[in-house]
Amino acid sequence: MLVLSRRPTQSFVIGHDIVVTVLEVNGDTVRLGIAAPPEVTIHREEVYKELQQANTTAASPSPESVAAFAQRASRHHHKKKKPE
Amino acid sequence: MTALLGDTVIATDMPAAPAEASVDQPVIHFAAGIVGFPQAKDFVLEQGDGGVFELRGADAEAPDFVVVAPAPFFPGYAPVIDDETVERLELRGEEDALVLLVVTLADDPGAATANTLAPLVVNARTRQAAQVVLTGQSFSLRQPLLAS
Repeated sequence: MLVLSRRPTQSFVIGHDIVVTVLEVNGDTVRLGIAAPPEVTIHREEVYKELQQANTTAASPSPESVAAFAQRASRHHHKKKKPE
Repeated sequence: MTALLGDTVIATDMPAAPAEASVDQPVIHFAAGIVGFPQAKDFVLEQGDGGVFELRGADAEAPDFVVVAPAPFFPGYAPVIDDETVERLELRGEEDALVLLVVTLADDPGAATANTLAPLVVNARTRQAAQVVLTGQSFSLRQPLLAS
């Protein structure tokens, strides 16, 4: 892993178009500003891992489970409309 | 039933866009991919039964997802879309944005959950889309859909 030391307001560049700037150091918290092209997404790592897990679990369900869910969902809408 | 787009309130129950999408099946493009599937960028949105949509990967290796419009399931759902996303997807106003939730199915169809924390935001005008993590808002990766 590359290790760099930077002071607040100083930056470093990743590739040609990603700039990370140290904005503020306060105790054990560092605030960073990140400028990146639109096709580069930025996530906190723990959020990224949770989302990856959620998307992988959701991906490519069986046609049978899709059909069963669609049927159940339409019953759900129907039931909700009754009290009106 | 509404979402906040910067300062703009947008409707999340927009039947027009998906209905139209099911006719000519335009390709929805996720320029940044989807977390977990970085190579899968192009999807086709197909309308199924019961307000349920299928987001089909355009390539053979790409995954398919079941997605729903939030309104029938979560009438009070009002995500705030950050300015970065508004700019990235070139959303001009409420009529541009279509919000969809990724559904995780279970063996029991009644136990399905929706990802309200990271909705798919589609620019209905340009077909550009992104999965947006709603930071600082109390939503869930696994919100029960059919709580009875």
